[in-house]
Amino acid sequence: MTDWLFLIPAFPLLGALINALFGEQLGPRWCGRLATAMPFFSSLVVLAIWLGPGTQPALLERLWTWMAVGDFRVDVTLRVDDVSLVMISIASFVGFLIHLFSQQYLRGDYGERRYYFYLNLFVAGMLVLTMANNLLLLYLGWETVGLCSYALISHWYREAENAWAGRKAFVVTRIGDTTLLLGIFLLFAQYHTLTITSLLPLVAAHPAPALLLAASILILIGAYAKSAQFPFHIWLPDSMAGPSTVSALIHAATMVTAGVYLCIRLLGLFAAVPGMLEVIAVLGAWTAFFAASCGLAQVDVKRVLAYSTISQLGYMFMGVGIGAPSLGLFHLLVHGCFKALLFMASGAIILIYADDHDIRHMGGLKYRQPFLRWTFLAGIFALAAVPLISAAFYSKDAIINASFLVAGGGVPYALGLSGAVLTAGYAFRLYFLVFEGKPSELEEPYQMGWGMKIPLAILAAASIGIGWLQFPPGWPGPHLWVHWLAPELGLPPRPIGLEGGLLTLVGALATFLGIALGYWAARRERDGRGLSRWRFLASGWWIDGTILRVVPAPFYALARLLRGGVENLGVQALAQGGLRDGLRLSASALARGENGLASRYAVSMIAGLLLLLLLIWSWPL
Amino acid sequence: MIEIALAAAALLFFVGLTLILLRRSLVFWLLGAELLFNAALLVALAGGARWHAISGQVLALFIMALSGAALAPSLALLLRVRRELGTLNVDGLRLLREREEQDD
Repeated sequence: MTDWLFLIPAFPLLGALINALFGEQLGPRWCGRLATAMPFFSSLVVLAIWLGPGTQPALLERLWTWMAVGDFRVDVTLRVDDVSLVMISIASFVGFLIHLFSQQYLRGDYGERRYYFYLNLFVAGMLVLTMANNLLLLYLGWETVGLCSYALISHWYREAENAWAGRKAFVVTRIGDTTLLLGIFLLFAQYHTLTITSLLPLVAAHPAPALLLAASILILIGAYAKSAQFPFHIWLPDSMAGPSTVSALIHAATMVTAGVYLCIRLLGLFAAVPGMLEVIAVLGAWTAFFAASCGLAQVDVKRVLAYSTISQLGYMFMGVGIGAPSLGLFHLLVHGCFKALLFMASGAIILIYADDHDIRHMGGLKYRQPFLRWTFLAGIFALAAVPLISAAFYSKDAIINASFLVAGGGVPYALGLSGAVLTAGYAFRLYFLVFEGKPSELEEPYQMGWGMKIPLAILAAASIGIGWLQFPPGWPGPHLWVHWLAPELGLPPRPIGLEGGLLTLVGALATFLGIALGYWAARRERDGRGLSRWRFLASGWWIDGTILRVVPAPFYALARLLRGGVENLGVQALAQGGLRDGLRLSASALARGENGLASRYAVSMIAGLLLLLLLIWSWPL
Repeated sequence: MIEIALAAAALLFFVGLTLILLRRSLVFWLLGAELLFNAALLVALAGGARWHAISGQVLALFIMALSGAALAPSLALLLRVRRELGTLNVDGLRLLREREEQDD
């Protein structure tokens, strides 16, 4: 009945395959069109799920057995429940919009075919990750997105910095990949299954405290590295080296949301460890606050957005940690829409300013690019969670308000609320600097085609309107989201009555305070004495520099030791010296016999024959 | 009876071997090879007579056909070698060895 689920990841995978095999014949234009069509087909299949069978009960499709050794059995099984349906909708549809936007954005760029290949593979990997019902299959998708992010961040590899940024992203997320794999090993050692749907009931039935603690910490590190949470966030600001569309894909539709998704998926595991969820909540709120403060001092338009991604992901983790995973997932959806919008719009802004990323050189763009201005403003509204008319007001503020009700939620609430002030601050600082004020003379005329305008318009509409799925409790209007997810994720704590009203009011006040802060910061920045001169904030609390100074050094030392000791002395001396010279000596000895004198060959043949006969006679049979 | 035949075969074999070992001319090598064939043929015949088996004679016929068939192209090659290189000394046929190694 659901034997067509495999089509969802298969379409982008097929696109990548065709691109790899026949891309040369197709030419870059058709590579791009093909690559754009594939996620569109996937999203049509996803739409069919929404309209057709629904996900009660969850859809399952068992494709084949990947491997089976003893009681170790891995099936390639795709599973779509409510949570993964949200994820695959984002990955396929927002992914499709980003592909569409890339058509004009990257036209004539070098490596277009390579770009579309990795873009398709990226979406396919994310779809496998979200649809996997098996931790090992999930890990396959996890690694695929890691690989593609590396390749796409260093897309413009001819500049050494970009290649370095790609390597940094790869190595940092690699740490998390390794710990995730170790966590999976631990779970298998204890429970002898990797199928998520049968693992979680086992965990609940037979908890093994020490092992679960170790496994959940290891898996959490994996999620943190992938989702760029403190202190593994250092790869994300540097990943801005890639094209803006890649940033949009990494930050909105794929990759960084995988960590949050993993946490929601394995919530039963984390809940089985006492105190774990509280730690997740506090760390998430801390990351949200920390990254928002860094965003306030950045001058690169994309770095502002990079820190905002870290911060928004912090809110999602906070939502998971306080026991409101459905709100976390809601914010993931909202964030996916407005962050894809903001990144693609900022890509257009950068093109208009001739590859200049510095927002201090920009200004007054609203006069020349009204369409860009209104769509960008919609994204900024959503990022800042402007009350009533932005989606994040209904998702992010709901998380912050819910944390107030939870026992021990004081610290997350305080951090989250002050983070919200800073968020609105850096969001509107960015908007005021780029679009308001005097027009900058560095601006170049640029005409956006329909391929760029349509995705921006769709995402802008979603950034404003998608929050109306779930009004705050007690308000008139639809309350679809939380109840729809309740069978899967349970109901989050919801403030009602006077308390709820007050919390909502405080959240709205925080946003307006932040807008004022942003206006003030933008004015100071224009005057040349802005927050970007605070090295502490601009460098991200010096964390990146400190980590780069402390952590890689022992590894470099170890590598030098291995090269000097093992490689030079051992392998080179033995293999190159001993083996090579030995072979050369024996070869020259043998070559001496090959002298071309047929009579001598005859003699040696007969001597050999005699020797063999002698051996046979003297051998005791 | 068979001992005599085997002794004759051994003698033939030894003569053939000696020819190949001592002479350098291709003609003598071919002669020697024919003698080796004939020694084997004699053994097959003698064995067939001793055990009253038809396969001995069959084998002998095969060996005759084989040595005849081998001899024809060998003689053709020999003529060709004589014409191209002007010598029949087997140690002169060293065209395939590497040039620089001019040892012995």
